[in-house]
Amino acid sequence: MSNLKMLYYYELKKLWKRKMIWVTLLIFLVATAITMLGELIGYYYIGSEKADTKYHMFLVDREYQKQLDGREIDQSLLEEMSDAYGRIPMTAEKYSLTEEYQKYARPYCAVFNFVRDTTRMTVSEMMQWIPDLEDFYRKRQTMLEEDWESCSLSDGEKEFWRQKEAELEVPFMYRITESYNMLLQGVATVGVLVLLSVSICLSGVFAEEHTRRTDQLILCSKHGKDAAYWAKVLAGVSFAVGVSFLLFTFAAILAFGVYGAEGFDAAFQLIFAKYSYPITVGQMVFILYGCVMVTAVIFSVFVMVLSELFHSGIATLAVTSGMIILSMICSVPVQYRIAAQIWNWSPSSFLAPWNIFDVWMVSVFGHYFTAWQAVPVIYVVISVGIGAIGKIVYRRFQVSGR
Amino acid sequence: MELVIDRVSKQYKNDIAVDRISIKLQKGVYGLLGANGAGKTTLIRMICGILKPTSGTISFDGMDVSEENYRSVLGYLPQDFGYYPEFTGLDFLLYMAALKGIGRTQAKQKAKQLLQIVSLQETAKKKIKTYSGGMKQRLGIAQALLNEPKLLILDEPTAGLDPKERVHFRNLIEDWGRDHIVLLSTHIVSDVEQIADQVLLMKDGQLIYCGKWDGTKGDLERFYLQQFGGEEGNE
Amino acid sequence: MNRYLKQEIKKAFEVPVPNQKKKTQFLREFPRPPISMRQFILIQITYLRKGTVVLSGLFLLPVLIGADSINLNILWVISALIPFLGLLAVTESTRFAIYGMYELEMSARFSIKSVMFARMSVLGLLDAFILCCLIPLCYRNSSVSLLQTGVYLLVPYLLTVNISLYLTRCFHGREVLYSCMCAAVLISGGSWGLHIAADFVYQISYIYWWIILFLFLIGRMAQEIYRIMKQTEELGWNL
Repeated sequence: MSNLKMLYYYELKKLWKRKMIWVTLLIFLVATAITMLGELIGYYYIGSEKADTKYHMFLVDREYQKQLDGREIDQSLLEEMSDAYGRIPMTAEKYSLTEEYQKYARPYCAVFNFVRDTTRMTVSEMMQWIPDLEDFYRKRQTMLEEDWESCSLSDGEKEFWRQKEAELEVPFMYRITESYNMLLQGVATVGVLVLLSVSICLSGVFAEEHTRRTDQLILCSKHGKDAAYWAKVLAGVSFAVGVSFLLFTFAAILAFGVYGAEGFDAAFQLIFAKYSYPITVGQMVFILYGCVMVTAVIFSVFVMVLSELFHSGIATLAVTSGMIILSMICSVPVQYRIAAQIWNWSPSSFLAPWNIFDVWMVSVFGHYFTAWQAVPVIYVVISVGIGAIGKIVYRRFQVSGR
Repeated sequence: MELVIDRVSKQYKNDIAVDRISIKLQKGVYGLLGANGAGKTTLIRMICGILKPTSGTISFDGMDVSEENYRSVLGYLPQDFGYYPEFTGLDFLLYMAALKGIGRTQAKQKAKQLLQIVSLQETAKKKIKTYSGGMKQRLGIAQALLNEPKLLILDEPTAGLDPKERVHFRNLIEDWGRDHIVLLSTHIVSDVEQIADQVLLMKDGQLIYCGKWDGTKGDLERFYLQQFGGEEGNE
Repeated sequence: MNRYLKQEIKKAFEVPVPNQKKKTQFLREFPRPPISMRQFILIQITYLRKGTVVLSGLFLLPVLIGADSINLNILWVISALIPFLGLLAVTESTRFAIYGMYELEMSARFSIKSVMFARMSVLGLLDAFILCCLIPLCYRNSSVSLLQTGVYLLVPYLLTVNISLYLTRCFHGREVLYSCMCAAVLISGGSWGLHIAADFVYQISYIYWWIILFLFLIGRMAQEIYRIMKQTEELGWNL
């Protein structure tokens, strides 16, 4: 056991001694900062006109959100919102440029956007809508049913989601959830950064032993075929966990530091309307982190095993980074549900809010599990399988052709 | 203490790199000579368990080459081995000690001792990438001796060593060979002449000579050249 | 010549025994015309790896498929992939450094400087052609101006080329290839990431910064090429 610890220590040392890793992490920390703070930089344009700086807009909107914080989105609030937006002249080409909008409607903008997201009404439909709480929930249900239908959900899945919808605490209470929204939107980018760093930093873990020709010394040693392999895999997995923790925590610190940490127990539906599972935004943070970490783990094992298969860090990097880039650019149409579900739940695609909080589910003996429940378990199982395959390949390697 | 190589062969498609070699080695230093492509490195790799024979068996005191216990008594210095440039000499030895199953405290003591023996104690804490070729070679020799191997395999160990270091190395191997099995593969005939108790000559994958070599049999180099047709204008 | 005549001449005259040394001396007396620059460059072209040329050519695929079938995102997709074009060009031009051929190529008849210059010129022209095809295509299918399209594609390309040239100049061995690849992946990911998460940098108000960056990178690239050429004249230290 102590030899395994020593080997693990030296494998970690091999990793942290590489300059490439520090350069990559530094760049990705900067990228994370840009992701989380990018919304506050630059100007807000209406057409080609500069309307305001984004930061100033954020400050103004925040004040209005504080006034709404803690209020139930009930009949009275809907009527207030409707009255306010009703003052905007119908003839206005860009309503957000009008004085009436800035003075009367903007304080209710957050609620307006929430109602729009939940009911999928257009702006003009919203302007003409007669506020009615029951109608609001009817429209919500319609939106959900249409969504479930377009995603080709089975009857069992639809029933599951209907039950979950019924468990939600209504009427919704408006809370300031900007930081959680930023974290949710940012997890796609943070996830890509985590996977890219795993790909860049771990592609050479096994391959470099062959290119450096240290494999001969390792494989002829007592622990060279067993403990050495697991030490490397453990070191790689530790690195992946560490990077996911570093980048996610940094993103969370920035989000909470800039946008505020209030609203921890707010309903998740305030920032992701079409998801019916009764969780809070605070719970969402832990779910997101768990998913990022587990995805990093399976990806790290995959990268390391590829590294051993190809005996080339460059080939491994090309394949794995190619997969990540491809998943950013391409997608499988929703009509092909199984293929789309596999693609969306693959490590390179999974870390996006619409995939983590996917309505597609997995059924095991009649029980339904959501994506964020099932995927981590699937990943752990697959990781063990890939690790075992890698061990077989590693053990069977023979030094020849030199 | 006996290394048994029993009808070992290695074939790559239509090429037979090692052709049914059978030999038993006891304590002592064995010099393995042969031309380029004779199969020496292939044989050595099979003895070290990093290449699987096509047929035949290799065992040491009853332990098969594939067993962990076999590797625990083995010390190997490859002909062309790599290192981790960011590791110091001491780091490298401690890492190899962990691979060989040596405990941390013992590993530190052993590493310091060996660094002294190979005259690298001054540069132990410097990164290997700053070492010269000879220093790297000496570090390689040191790592091969870490676990006090009963079976020591050295492939071109004196490459890159200056004459003084070479003499020092020969003395080291001679001492070691008194109580252990040492197999020394080299092109430098004088190394074999000076320290080997027995000479193994390989040609085209086969052992063409195996036995003691003393002055009464004449010059070893001439004999070697005769076997490989190297005497003036013959090849 | 008539076979019968040959046989009769052989009978009439004694043919002297060929002397290998005199033959070699005789052949050495013939002047060997130097090859022209054009021939030299053509020879170097044949030594470019086919894979590099084919992979570079793949960047023209969007053009060949037809711009109409490609959606609005093509600018950002190409911008994310273009670093690999730069990577291919640099690693092919500086193969001698990556594979440890410095000393051999430096001591050969044709200076390594000329060889490298020839390769860089050919690959540079190829890349320039590919970029000239891609920029109008991306402009046609994007919502930004031609100038913006040009800089948004050229900046990631030049950044990759600059970093790769720097790494090749300062370090040696196959590790350099891996490092250049990492740089390309980072720039590729960064390019796509900026578009997704920080698209404010693509607003028209920032165009001057992009142009400054573009000009800076052009200057740096020229400087790096000059430094590499200088380095090929003699070894600065033991490699």
